[in-house]
Amino acid sequence: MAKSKNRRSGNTPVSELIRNLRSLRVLLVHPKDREAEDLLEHLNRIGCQVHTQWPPPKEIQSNIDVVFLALRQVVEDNITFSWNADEPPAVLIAIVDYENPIIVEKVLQMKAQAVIGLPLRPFGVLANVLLSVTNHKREKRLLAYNERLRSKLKAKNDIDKAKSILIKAHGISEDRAYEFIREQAMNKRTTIESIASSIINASDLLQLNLTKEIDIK
Amino acid sequence: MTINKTKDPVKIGLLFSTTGVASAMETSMMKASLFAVEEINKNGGIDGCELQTVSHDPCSMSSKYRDFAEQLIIEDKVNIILGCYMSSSRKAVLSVVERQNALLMYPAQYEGFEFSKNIIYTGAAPNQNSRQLGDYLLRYVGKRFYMVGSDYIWPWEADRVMSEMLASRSGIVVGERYLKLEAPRKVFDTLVQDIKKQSPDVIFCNFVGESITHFYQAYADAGLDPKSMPIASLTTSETDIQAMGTAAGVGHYTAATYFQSVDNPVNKKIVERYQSKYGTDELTNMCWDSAYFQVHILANAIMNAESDNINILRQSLLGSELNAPQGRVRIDPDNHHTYVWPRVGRVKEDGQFEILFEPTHSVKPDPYLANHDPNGWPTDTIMKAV
Repeated sequence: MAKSKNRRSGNTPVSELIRNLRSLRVLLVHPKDREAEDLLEHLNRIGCQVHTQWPPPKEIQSNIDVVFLALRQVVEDNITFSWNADEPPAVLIAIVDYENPIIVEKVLQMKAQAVIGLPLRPFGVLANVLLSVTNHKREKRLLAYNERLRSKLKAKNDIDKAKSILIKAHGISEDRAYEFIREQAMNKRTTIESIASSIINASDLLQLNLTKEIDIK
Repeated sequence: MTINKTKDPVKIGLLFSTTGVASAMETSMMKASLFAVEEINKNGGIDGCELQTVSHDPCSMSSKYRDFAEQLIIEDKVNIILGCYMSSSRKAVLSVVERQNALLMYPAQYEGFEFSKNIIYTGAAPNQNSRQLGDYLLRYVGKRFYMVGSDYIWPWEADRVMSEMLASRSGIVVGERYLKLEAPRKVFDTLVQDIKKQSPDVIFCNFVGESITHFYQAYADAGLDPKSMPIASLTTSETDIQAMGTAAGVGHYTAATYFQSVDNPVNKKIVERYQSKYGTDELTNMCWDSAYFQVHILANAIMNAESDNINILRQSLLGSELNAPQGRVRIDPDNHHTYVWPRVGRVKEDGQFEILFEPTHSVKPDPYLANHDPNGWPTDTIMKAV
């Protein structure tokens, strides 16, 4: 659990994200109206680099950090907005003026990281942007970590399986089996995981003939 | 109301504490406001309509600022309130003016990171005082800083900005202490002893209210020398120097948008008029200047808009300009803050500031600037030695 300091100190540096707030690139996807103008003005006041676009672009450019989206218009006017909610290209902040289940459901479906309510109140926009960018980064980090764990786990399973094939086939110790796989990987300049999966594949092919001696030298 | 048809007076509310911890500064702001109102009425009011004030004393308590702001709008029927000094009081009034769609004109330097359609900010944002003071101190005074101040958001944020400037220019913070607004004198003696031990090049000081007097007096009583270890502040003004006794203030630095010693004909004329009314003991200062000029800006805007309805008035206020005592100022339509003139001064024997540096032209407010890295400074902040 994060522990917050009782006394704020002026000498405690703030995070890079806050310091570099002005390098954030924001795309405001909203029809041109008074609310969009107010939000645009406030984002400029904060100092972000803002562009506006309507109707929504086919694809979000990779240099965009944050997308503000007029959600009701997308829902009501049946406007196409392609957004991969599971692998979002940027942070998504929904601009909403209804809080009914249909609109809220859409917010959830699109996995928006934050919501800005209308009528616009400038207070809170800054904090919402920073919070959602931080959450987005953390989510990406966690997903990448998750992926690494998944492949590590699969590798470990494969190595275990390959070891047990070798132990069975040659009556060698577990340590020796591992050592053998490692040597093979070094000689062939490949990973332990790929040798392990070769052994498993080979063994599968020879499944019917397991009793026969395999020439592993 | 629409002015000029009925010649009814235009009523504005004043919320300055004449009692409590902030009273020294806020009384000065109050007098500045009333003085400006009197000038306007002497010159025929706003198109023949008298400008009337309704005042309440919030006693330096933020809950009273909120209550009186509500009372001013609902019972006294004003659309515009001028007042507040500390951030806590501004925040209290902010919630009221936004809900009631009224206007607050706020004449004090503060920590930035705020914008409301219902507030006009006429004091300095951090890019209009901290930056200039930091630049001066690091260039000419020293690199080892001891940070002290009252224990609330404005001094913390002022220190954060200063610390960042230090970090990017190989300065260091050797100590940092915040004291409660009501801290008694003896606590300041203890603080000064610690500062003496650390022996910094500069004491960056953002006490407000009576704490200013306590701190400078404790410093003087400890026999410290401003030549080797000066105090530098964003808040200490002529009025505070007078309250602490001039001797305790001599040699210390302040950065502000205005000093009474600003050398221009507008300032000289206004100070002379002010002192001929209240006496030469009545000093002017940075918040006095903002409190004064914002009344004139407001009166001009009401005259142009022919209304004190804030939806109409706002357009007339934004972008408006005035020859204020500090120099020509302008309300920035982008962020409702003000183009002002940041200066660095040092207290002389007579309690007035010798102005060491001032800008070549007014500086645009940038209330949402988080990164005060001097490498990224725009050229309009270039200061010239006076």
